[in-house]
Amino acid sequence: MSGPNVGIVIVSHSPLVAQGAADMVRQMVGDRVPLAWCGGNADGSLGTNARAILAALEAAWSPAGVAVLVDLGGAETNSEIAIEAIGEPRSAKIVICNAPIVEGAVIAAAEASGGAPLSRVVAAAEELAPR
Amino acid sequence: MSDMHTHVRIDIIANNEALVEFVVTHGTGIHARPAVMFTKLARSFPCVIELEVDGSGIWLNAKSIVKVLAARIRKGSTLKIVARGVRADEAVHALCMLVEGSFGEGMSHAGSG
Amino acid sequence: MPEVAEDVAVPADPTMPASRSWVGQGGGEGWFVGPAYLAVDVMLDPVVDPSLEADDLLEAIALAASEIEAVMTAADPLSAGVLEFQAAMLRDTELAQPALRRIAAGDGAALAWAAAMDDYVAAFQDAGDGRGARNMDLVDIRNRVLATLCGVPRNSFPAGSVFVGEDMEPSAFLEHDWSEGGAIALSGGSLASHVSMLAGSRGIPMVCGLGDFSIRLGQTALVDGSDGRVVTDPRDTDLGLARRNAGRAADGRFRAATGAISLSANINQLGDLELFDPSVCAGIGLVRTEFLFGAQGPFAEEELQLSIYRQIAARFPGPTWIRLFDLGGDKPLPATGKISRNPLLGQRGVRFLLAQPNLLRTQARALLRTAAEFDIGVTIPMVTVPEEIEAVRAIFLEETAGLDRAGVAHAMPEIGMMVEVPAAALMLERFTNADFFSIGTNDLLQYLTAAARDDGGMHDLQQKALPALAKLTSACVTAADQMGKRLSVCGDLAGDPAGVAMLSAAGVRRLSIGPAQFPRIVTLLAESARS
Repeated sequence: MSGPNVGIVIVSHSPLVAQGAADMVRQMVGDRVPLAWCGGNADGSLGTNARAILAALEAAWSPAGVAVLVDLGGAETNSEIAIEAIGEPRSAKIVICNAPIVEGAVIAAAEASGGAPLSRVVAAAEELAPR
Repeated sequence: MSDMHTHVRIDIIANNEALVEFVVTHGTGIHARPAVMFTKLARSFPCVIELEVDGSGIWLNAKSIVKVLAARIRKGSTLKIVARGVRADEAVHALCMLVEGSFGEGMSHAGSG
Repeated sequence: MPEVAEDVAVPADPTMPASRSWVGQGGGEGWFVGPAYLAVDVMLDPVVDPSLEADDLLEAIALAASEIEAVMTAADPLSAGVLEFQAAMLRDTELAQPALRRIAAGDGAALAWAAAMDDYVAAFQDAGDGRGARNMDLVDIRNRVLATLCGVPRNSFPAGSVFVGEDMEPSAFLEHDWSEGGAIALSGGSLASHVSMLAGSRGIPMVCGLGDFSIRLGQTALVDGSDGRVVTDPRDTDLGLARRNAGRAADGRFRAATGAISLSANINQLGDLELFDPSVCAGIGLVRTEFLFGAQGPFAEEELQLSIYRQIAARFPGPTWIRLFDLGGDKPLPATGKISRNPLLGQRGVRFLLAQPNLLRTQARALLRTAAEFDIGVTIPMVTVPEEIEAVRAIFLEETAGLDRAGVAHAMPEIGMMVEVPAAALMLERFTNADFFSIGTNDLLQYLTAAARDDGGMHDLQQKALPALAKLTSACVTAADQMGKRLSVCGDLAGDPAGVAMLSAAGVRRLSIGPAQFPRIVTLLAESARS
């Protein structure tokens, strides 16, 4: 295996959803891909919070970059805040995918586990895989 | 088929301090060879690393194989790992991945022939 | 370690000592006859030197660690791994703490150390769940440091003898000179222990769990690892039996040496790829696709399947044989609303796929696209008649038309079959439309013996009926040779040394094995090639 694989972060309003998606990913790719998830507000209610997303980005960080899967609008907004907080140069290598959270995470992780670069991982999730 | 379910939350408490809490799913817990791998990995980081099992409130040095074995970490144990110092978040992440990945021992190959 | 009781019985005929035999659990195949050496416990008198202090203890521990590390650097990876645990313990400053506390309370260093280590050993033993098998490492550490502290040379036994004791320290095994042969007979011990692993990997006969048995120092003892028997003062008949036990395995090894056997990998999930050494792995003989995608199983999207198949096919230089989803029977069947009374004999394997063509078509497209870039073969599960292969080929061909229209790169892979249904195995020559054959011994043996393979109570019966499988395998090998097609064997038998002997005697030259069994078969074949 040459070089580290792209990392995957899953952000949902529900920790159960995020964890469940992460479980499905883990079942398939094991530990070949850096993976972290987060969900819920700091007080445990449904929602997202930038601090937790930041921690997840740190945990799943890879020199090859990170693909972020989100569910509803707020998740995307808070993810952007977290990416800004991480700052240059790493923020340039973190991309939020426009994809359904579970299917996107699974195909992104599959591509990542094969050593695909960030652009292809994101494209696979967004169904723009080159034909 | 897969027992690699873990409940992982990594919190960053302050600068240079990281905590992770999860349930151990590795079939035989952390003893003998897994303990060697775990403590060897912990020793490769310069920060202080401690662990607590099943909410006991007792924090043990994660770099000591004697302490880790005495902790009797079994399948189903809740493990908390705290690291303080340089590369604390990396240490916590690496140790978590090691345990989550069942120490690379793979899964059973029962299946059709 | 406790002394083994001395035998006080006097045989009736002084010119022909009565032979006695005991049964335990056998490890480390083969057999050996030699004089018995009775291990004595290093139960040194701790009062020996009351002036020994904390510094002496720490020095002895450091010395012990260096000694172990020295053995590790010269040892093979398996042995080094066994010792790594001991070295890690000795280098941990926490290890000596209980002993140091006792010394501070007034005990001599040797007594303090022995008592503290005995506490550790007892704690380890209580833990249950498999840890007990490691307490010999703690005993090993205890005795090594104690011997240094008291200036006593460690237990060593003569080359070419039979080590007799309650259990055996791993480092004692590793420091011993086995070049003149030897064997191990233990009243206690465990097949899960480090010593058992090491004995197995070196081919040293070992029997453990014998319980109390009588043997004298120097008495001739036969240790038969395959049979799990120890015989004192063995007669010619005992030796003959041992030779026959070993001979069965030896024949297979001899045949293996005359025609090289190639080893491929069995893959259930992506993580398995890293578990095989590419330098000895000829390719992948079996990918169980129904396990690759976790909970989604056979419903995985085409793009996802393609991504995973590519990674697997790219791993080894040789061909990758990927089996179509093998569903039904004892494996989870996607809900179809039907309940079968006899799932093992009903709609499973290719029968199921042909009844649920949408699953098959998606998988076919992913495989066609993979074949454009990699050397893969597609294996059809549970084939009974050639028409099933025809039907699968037709579906693959139909899907190429769709891929053409979409302008997607694809190629037709080789399409072969699992040989696991007796009706197919008995008339392999009918299957001219299969490109290769893969014998699935688990299912084939199950159907041949009419005994369920996942029923523990049926295991012995299946083993006794192996000659029938051997005969059928031999016929398949002949048929495949005449048709000029490759034949490989996957299944538990291919990962078992006795099974490999049987298969190679039947003419099999290709095996596909799971990660846990792969290393020992590599060793088996390497050793037979040398001898």
